Amino acid sequence: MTTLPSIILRTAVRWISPLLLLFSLFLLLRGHHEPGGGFSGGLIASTAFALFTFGHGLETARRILRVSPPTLVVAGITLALVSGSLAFLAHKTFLTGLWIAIPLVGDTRVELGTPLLFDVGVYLTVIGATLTMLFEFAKE
Amino acid sequence: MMTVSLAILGLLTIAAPWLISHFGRRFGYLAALVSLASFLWFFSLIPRITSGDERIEELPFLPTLGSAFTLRLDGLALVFALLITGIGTLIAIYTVGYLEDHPRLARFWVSLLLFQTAMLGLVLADDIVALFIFWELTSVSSFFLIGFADERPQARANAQQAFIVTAAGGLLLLVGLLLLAEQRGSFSLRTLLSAGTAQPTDALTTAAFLLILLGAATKSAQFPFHFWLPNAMEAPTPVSAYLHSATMVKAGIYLLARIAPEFGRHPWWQPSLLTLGIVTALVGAALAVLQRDLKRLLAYSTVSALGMLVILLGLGEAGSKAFAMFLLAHALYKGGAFLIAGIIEHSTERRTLDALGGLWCRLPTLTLATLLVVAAAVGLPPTLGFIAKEATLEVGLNVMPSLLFALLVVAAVGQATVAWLLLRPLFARPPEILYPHAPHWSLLVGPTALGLLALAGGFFSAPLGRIVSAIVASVRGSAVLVVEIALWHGFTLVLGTSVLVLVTAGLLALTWPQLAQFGDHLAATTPLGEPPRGLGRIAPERGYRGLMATLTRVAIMQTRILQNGYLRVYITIIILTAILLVSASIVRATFPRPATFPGVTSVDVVDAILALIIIVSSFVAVRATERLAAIAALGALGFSLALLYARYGAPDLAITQVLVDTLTVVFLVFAFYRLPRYARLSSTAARARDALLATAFGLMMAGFALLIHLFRYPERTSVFFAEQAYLAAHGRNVVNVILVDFRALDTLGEITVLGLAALGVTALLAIGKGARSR
Repeated sequence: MTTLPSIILRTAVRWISPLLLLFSLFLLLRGHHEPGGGFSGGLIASTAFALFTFGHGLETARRILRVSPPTLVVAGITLALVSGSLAFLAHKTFLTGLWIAIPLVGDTRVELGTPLLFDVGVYLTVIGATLTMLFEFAKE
Repeated sequence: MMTVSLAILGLLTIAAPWLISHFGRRFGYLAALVSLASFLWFFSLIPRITSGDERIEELPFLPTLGSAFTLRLDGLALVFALLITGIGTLIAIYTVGYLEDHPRLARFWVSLLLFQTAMLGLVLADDIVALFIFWELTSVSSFFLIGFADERPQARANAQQAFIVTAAGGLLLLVGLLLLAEQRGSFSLRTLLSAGTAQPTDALTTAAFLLILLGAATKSAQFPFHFWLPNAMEAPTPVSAYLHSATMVKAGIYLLARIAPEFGRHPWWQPSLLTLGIVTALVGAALAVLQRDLKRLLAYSTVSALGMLVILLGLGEAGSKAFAMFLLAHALYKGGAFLIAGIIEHSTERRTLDALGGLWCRLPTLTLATLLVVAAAVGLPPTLGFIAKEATLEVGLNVMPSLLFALLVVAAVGQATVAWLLLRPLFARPPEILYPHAPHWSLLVGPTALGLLALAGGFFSAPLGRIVSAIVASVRGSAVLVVEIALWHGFTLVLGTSVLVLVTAGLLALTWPQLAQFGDHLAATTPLGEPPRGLGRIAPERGYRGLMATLTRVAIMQTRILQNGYLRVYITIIILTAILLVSASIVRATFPRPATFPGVTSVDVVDAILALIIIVSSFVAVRATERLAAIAALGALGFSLALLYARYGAPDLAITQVLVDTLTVVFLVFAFYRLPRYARLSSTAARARDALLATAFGLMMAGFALLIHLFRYPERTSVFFAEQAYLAAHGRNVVNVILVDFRALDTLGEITVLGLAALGVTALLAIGKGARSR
């Protein structure tokens, strides 16, 4: 982007991007029961950063992301591997889902499992891969 | 515990770069401590294992394939584990003084620790998949270590050579092991190798045996694959001592010993192993005494010793006791000899024998260590070397035909000559006055300890006997028997031969300058980039170089045809293949066909509109004269498709489709400036061909979708997934449960591909930039 885009876009992006990121987390977390999941969540998050790149330029977007996108890819794949390997500790086979239930007030309880960790890995990898390409394209 | 000790070594490998940035060279002491700890643990198991017990640890892995990560500790594995961790400790200390603050210390340690982990895993593995993976990992780490000084072309070429030879052998080994597993229905070595009482000699078993033998022969540098080992001396000396004499090159020997209980009775076992061993032992010994370079000299003598071990294995039960003792003795004295060569090089910066001499008065501590090692290496009483040689000669005399025995003695003379030659740097008259600097204490620990151990082996014959009998039990596949080891057998023919070997070797060592000149004349090895002459013209290494040249030519040829760089050709081939394969399976498919095809009863108005939009926008996209119009048309197509998905109960698919389409538009916007003018570049004929191809693919997909809809399978996986999603995987969204649980391994593969694709795009764009800036 050689010229700065319109002030309307810049201001809008500043509000929309965080909302999109929040929405991406929402999609990621609800994925196991409702439509969503790591893949679509990751794509939404990438869109948030893409919009930010449109509005504020590549350098700002990089700075906001803090880590380099390939690092995210590596972190994501590692997390997926780790979540699969946790099963070994319970003497189960690779990638067997392990679950724990955390009781909250009354009858409600939160179930946490390694598939969620795996999905976070997918989420990070998708963001990393998309942004690796996107930032490379956005370079002048 | 075995798993834990492997895991700790693995973790240390991963943490090494970080730890080295903190501790520098002192990291070597930490590595030594870790090795020592696992050495002591294995040491404490000696009484249990030598009394015939076995230790087995198992982690389930891919149980549907019948594969588990199983570790097993028996006599043979225990001795190897002791050698790997024990010598590993000494090597770690030695490296502190040898590499000092080398700028690439981290890389060295990561490779070396990776090797140690892999080698330990290799000897402990009971599962053939694990065995193979560890086997190849040792080759990989050896590659990095030989090529450590990667600024030298010779180091790079030799690293590649060692890797290609050993890894190719590893693949043969894999095929052999899989044949065996297929035939006997198990992945566990225990089951595979204790299967038969009556020895099957069918073609499959013989093929498996030959393939495993080839794998072992490449790894253990048997003729005609021996050439990689002397070339591997490009590696730093700790590596030569550890990988290329004491442990890794014995992996092939280990494997042969491991399969001996089962294949030892195969009719081809004895002839093939004896031939292989004798030729290797002789070639190695003959080439060794002709070398000028100290490390190459030792390397060829290692080749010869490996041949000797193969001979002893080939002799079957009769040779197993001598095998066990020679294995131990060789690991101790040859490892020590290499370490001494390294100290000499480090102190004098010279490595050729004729440039060295007179070091005894300047380096007294080194002299002492050398004397210890040489005593064991030439086999002077009362060292372990002496006992091992006596046992070897005794077996040869009793069991082998006299011609073979004579050849064995010749090989023994060659090896003893090499050992005597180690004294030359100390006592020969130097060609110039040398001013060596005294070696750091950490350098002297290794050879001294190894020499002392070899010496102690002769005195403590009772514990030695227990260890030897445990190895013998593993090699024979029998229960542990008591093996008597005695230092003195009286004045026998064996003792006479032994003395003869010692004296002849001593005389040969004294006439070494003439031998070396003769060796230059023969020119058995060809340096990189020089035309072969003399013996080099018929050396097996020439075969390797010829093969590599052919490989390159074939690669260039097939790349020109298959990887021609035209995206349109790739896509055409992919689409044609898909059309052919899918159509063929549609035609050949034998599903229970429904009696009547359901007719079209009613048409949903919204569906019809969406379908119309899809059809129209695809035509617009194809015919558009502006890029923006084409993009917009594609977008319309994508969103209509997403709506269709959403209407038919696939919200996940719809969300993803919308998002992918959005991001595609974003990418196109970024790429907009880079793209050339949107022009019509292809001829009408080419367009017609593409249209035909696209239509055929579309028709195929339509037919495929229709067929899937029409034919009802007796069992549908979707029913299983829908039922089990909440019960087994705690999720109500079946699509997501399939992605992250039922089919998580596929997803793992996919995200890995995704990451690689991103890196590929980066690389392609970088190439494009380079081309533009040039």
